[in-house]
Amino acid sequence: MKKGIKWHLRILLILLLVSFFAPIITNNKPIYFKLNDIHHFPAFKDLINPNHTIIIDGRVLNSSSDWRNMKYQSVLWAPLRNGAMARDPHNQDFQSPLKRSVYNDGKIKEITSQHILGTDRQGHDVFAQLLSGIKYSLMIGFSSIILAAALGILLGAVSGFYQNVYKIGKGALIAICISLLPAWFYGFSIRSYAIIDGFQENAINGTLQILFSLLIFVGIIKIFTWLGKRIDKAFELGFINFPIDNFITGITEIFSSVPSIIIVVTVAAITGGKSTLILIILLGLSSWPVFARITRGEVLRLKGMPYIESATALGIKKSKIITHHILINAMPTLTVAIAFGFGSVLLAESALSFLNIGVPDHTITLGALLRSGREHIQAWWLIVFPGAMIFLLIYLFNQIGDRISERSNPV
Amino acid sequence: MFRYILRRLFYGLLVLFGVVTIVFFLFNFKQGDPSLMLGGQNANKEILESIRHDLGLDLPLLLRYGLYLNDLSPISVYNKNFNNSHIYLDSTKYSYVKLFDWSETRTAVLKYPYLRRSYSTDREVSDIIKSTLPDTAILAIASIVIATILGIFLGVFAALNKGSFLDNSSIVFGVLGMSAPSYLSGIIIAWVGGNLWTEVTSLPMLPFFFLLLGLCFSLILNFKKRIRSEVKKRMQWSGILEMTVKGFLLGMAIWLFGIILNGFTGMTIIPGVSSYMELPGTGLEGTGVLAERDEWTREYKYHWDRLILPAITLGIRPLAIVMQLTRSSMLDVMSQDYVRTAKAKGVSSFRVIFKHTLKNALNPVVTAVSGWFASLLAGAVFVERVFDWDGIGNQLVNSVLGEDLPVAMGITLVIAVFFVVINILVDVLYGFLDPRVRIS
Repeated sequence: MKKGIKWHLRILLILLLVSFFAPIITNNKPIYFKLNDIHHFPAFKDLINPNHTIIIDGRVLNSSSDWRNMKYQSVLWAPLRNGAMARDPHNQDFQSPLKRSVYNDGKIKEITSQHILGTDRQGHDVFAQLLSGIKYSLMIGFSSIILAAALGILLGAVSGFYQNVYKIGKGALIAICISLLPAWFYGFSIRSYAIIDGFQENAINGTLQILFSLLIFVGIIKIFTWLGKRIDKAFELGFINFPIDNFITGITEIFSSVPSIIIVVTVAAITGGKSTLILIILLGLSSWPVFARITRGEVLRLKGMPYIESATALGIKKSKIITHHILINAMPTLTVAIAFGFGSVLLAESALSFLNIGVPDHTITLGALLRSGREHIQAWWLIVFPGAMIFLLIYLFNQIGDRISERSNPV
Repeated sequence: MFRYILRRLFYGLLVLFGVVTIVFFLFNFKQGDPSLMLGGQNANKEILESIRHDLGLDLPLLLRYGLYLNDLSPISVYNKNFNNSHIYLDSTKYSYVKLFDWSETRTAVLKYPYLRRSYSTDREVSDIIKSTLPDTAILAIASIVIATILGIFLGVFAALNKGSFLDNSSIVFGVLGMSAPSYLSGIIIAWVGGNLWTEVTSLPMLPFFFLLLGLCFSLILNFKKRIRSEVKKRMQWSGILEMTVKGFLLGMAIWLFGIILNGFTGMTIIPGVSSYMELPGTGLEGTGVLAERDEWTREYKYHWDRLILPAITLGIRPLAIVMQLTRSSMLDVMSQDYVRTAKAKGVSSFRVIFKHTLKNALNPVVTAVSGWFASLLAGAVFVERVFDWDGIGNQLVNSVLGEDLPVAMGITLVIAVFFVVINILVDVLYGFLDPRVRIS
């Protein structure tokens, strides 16, 4: 029986699209309106920046009633008229989805399915919150798994390939040590405000800023290494043997001897400032040892293959052998690890937001919804729907990992 | 073998040293000023300065690290002239064995590892851990017992009736149990057991537990074989109903018996059963701390019924794993030649299952259970939080939220020690069972 992952990927894609376009599906602002012969698209602006403000006639529009009571020339509302951040004063104090919600529009009229998944204590719509919670979870998951996988695969490949014979020229070593300081300074220290600003604007901007910083960091180190190698060649300084495998496996062992969730819980709380960036870095740093171990094993397995020997005999550079010949062939196993890692990162993120640790205040997450459900346990819709969503996401990633591993090594 | 154990121990010590280093630098990397918290609102600059001096926060980071290591190691050196209690041993309060005088002011002593004092309550951290660890241990042991017993039973039955409804549902349950996060299943179980059950039936927890047990065993007993005929299928369902009701009635009977005994004699023979119902602090039936102190009599009162829901929650994941492992290894062993020979010789099927097959199939299960015991401590954080169980995990979260650094550091270190020790034990066990491991 063929077990495909087609449907899992489709469901994931649907979740991704729906959560990304959530401001168009459910919003208290109109998708389009025309006022004073100017066209506005507030819901589309929400896609890019949820905290943006629109000023009309010198007045800032924030509450739902402001939007509702405007005299528009022409207007197109979203299908569901509840924003994720907007409070509904008529339906606060845990409105059940089974009851008929009150919808007050100046003249009183009732709409049955106003809040299709109910509301919480402040009158926030659970459905809209659910969608933005999924978006936040997936965003955190993607960025931290990219960080963890990059770090883990790099370290694992280096430790598996060079084992304990990594010869480095003295000049190059000194150059790398010297280069760390300016690389850190120009890459991250100067640009820290740019990164923080980027993340405050939105996730994509922040990730781009981080990537740019990494580029600067790696570039400076690269230039210094090149210089160091020149010096080595010119003066023939000799080599130092660095036991890189023992070093990296030792660090991996230490990191995996404390359960990562406990480190994340404690450190996220103690680093003080609750920010999404610190959360991503913490989750990424706490989950790299798995990738390092798996990559190391795969590299050790593939290193003995005849085609690697022939590639070495052809005189291909070591870095190219690692990337083009070994890591490409280790891809199925690494994909499985990434899928499982994604599940565990999602779990950690929702756990943290459930405990109200590390996740910024007033961020809408699935775990925060569950927490409000724990505080008022009679509101079952606050437990069942976010819980089912967390469960579904983790289940999907676990199943994808399972099935890829089943396919890549059929027994 | 001896050299192998020694090597593992040395390696474990190295790992622990690394863990201490990482934990210390992570916690001291960037921290708020605890002197503001300790001094209160009206503290002036001098008081804050003296508090900072007392905590040793005015020292450079590397020196603080050295002092922390000095506090943790059993053989340590301390200065007689220092009197800030958060760093150095106070000779009047703590017992130690004096080894020799290092110099005129410094003495080398032999002592227990000293985890410093809590910022907020000024209790010793080791004291806090001592008072909370037993609760977590009780919870972990209860859940692992539930998980192993039920899991092995269900796994054996699933393997014996491969392809039946029970087998398929066990696979589904395994996948569900692995994917569901513990706090989610905790909330749902708390809602069903603590709120829905008491609201609908206004009965205590014990009958609920027995009802669940009855449901489990009736499922096992009635779905052994794949049945095609409609009549027998109907009989199956009625059998399940019967067992469930029986379980419920058994629980009710035990509860009533306990109530009557309690009412007449004032004794509590059956734990957790008393003639009146009281709501714990969380507002949910069946949740709260295990040992509650009576305001008037100053005696600890034990609520064993509050163990049921968290133990079930914590046990779900190990239960799923144990069940899957038992099932697959039972299927493996059942296809071996000696099982067929035993069957051919006419050994009774009970003996074949429990003596020939299960004994050999349990090896991977035992190692898995021992490995899971350590990670239960980590999983307990959320379960304890949900059920307000006064264990080490809840203490960790509380101290972290209150920025009580020494307590959080101490608990993290204790959990790390548990992990390392259990890993070493499992490795030694492996080396004992499999000589190939020792040599490499």
